[in-house]
Amino acid sequence: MKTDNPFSNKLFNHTVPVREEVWEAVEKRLPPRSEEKSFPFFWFMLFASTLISGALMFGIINKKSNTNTNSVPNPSYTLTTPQSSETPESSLSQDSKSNDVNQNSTTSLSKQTGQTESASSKTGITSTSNASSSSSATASSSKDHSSNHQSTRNQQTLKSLNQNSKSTTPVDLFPVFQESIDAESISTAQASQSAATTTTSRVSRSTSLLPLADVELYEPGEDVIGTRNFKPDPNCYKFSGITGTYYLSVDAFAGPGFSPRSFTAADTESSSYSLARETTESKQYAWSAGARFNFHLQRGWALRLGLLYDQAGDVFDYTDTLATHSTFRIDSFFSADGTFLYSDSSRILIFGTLIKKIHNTYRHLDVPILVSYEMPVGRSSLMFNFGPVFNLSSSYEGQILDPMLHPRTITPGSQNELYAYKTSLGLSLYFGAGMVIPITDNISGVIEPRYLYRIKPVTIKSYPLEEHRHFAGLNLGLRYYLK
Amino acid sequence: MTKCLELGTFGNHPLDSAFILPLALIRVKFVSRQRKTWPEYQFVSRQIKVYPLQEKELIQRCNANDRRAQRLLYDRFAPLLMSICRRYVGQSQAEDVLQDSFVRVFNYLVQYRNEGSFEGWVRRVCVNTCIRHLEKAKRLQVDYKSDDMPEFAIDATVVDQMSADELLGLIDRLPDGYKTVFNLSIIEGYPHKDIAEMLGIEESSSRSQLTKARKYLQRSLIATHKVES
Repeated sequence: MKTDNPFSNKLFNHTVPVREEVWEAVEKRLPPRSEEKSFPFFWFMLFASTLISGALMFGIINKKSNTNTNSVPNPSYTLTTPQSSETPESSLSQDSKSNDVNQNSTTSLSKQTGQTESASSKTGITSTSNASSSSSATASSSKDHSSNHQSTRNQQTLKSLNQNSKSTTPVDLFPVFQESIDAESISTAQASQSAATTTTSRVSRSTSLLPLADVELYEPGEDVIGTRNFKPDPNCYKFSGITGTYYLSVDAFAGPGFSPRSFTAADTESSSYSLARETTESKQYAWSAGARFNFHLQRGWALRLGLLYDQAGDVFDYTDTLATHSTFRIDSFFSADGTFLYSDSSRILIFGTLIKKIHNTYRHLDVPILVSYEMPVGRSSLMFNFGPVFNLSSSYEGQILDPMLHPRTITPGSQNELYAYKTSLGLSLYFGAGMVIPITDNISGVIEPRYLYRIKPVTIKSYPLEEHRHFAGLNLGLRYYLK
Repeated sequence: MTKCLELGTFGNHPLDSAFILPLALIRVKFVSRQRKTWPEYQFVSRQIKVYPLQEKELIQRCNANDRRAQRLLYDRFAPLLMSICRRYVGQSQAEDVLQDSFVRVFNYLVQYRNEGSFEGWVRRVCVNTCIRHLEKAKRLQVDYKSDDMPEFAIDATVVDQMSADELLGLIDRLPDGYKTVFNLSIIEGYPHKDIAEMLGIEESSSRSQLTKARKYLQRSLIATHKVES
């Protein structure tokens, strides 16, 4: 701007250095950084995924322990007579092949005891089932020796297993021992042996494989369940299976949430408007509550029908430092005797700062119709819910900026109302995954992180912005099983 | 699964698969943060070099409450606006008004329509802030007293020889009413009609204030010239 005016020439673009403290003061008065809201779902997602992962881990551990108990095949014993064509050693080797546990134990022991040790002694130390076969098959072997010192050998076996734990042969960290065959069973086996002639008979026995420490002896007729204080598992009847019956339950829940919001602008003018709205409105809280009936079907499937209420609160924070307030003032002048002389009207314009801090409330009432699958995880169960949600009604209260960037109320029925929001949002989608944890026979706790995706915008078509509001929440509640 | 943690053979055990989802989320969180922040650093360095070409982008980022972009805009305009504030409200309150000006610039940036010069818009916001400040402090008082003093011609060479700081000192001595009209008319170049609207006075009042401001300056200049000579 070069003119003949020396003042303008020298002062129009004149600059003065500014202290750093001024920026710090300005920064304090600006809205908080947008970076802090970069990933609003992170903590919610992390919590939900940790819950699901924990449940899966728990399930895997449970499955593994079940597998350990069930995967060991029932030992089968080949009873052969001395007249059999097979040698005792060969028959024993076949037996050991047929039993994984025996095979592993034998291999580990062979390293310790050496090749010169007889097969009968190996099997005698390893398991009593082989001891019985060896004692029956090889009468000349040390049958009495193995039976008399069996407990001592078991202890030796424990020690040797611990010592050989680093061997290449896989050894169970929790050694499983077959039950000792008492004198009665040995006598039965001997009776069977005596009954056998030249043919080989194969007898299958199912033995319970328990850790040595867990083996407890009970007197006949003793109420084992009663002394061990077993409680009925409330989860048992929830998985009715193919032949089971349908049953009902009721969920009641409530919990905190987060209501993410997004604006879609059609043009640049609307984008400025959306920015203005984002600047003036900030999220404060969200929560939800609901109840639903559950129709439990077969194989863990269930249908859920209920009511869902969610409420989100925002703060409309509007400051106009250029605000003006105008008032009309009429001054009437009278004479001393009270006669009206004239009146003078004047318009007074007051400059000031207008500050509005208004709490906005967004309420939704929905009907979810969900398909659910429940998967047993120990005593608890993991559930996955998905389905449509139909909005019954939506209501809004508070103030927002209108497209002209002036504050307007959105409360229905109020004066100068801005018609921006729908009263019914139609179809939405529900995603949820959580845990059902049994508490008593009929009551279980429910923890379910869930997400409600609203397909349609909450704003009407004529409104210049498309505003989408979803809801992410955590359902914490109770389930009551109706008998 | 490869070794993603320094914990040995993580991933070999079946239970490790249960941790995949939380770990993936944490990874997404921090990787996304790195990816997000990195271009902003590049953006800042690029903006310093070729600022005028990126003005639109800078405004957009300021609207998105990007603190680095806001700082960049502040660095660009703060010395200029500080000079304006000093001319209007004086040295003592210039920093306070500068703060207000920048807060208003950032708050009302969404209303800038990319029409005309952005610097002109920022100047206008600053000038308005100065005027509001003077009005609030009740320092804007129109002097309606008649001044019959004759107007002397100002020797342009005398003003040319004065530095900007000397001129600022000269303007500082003007009463606030005169000074505001003088700044708006002589330095900013606003017509009297706009000045009258901005100050809420009659157009004739604006003209008379400017005339009185000129006379005041002439007397000051003559006095200064006499002292110097």
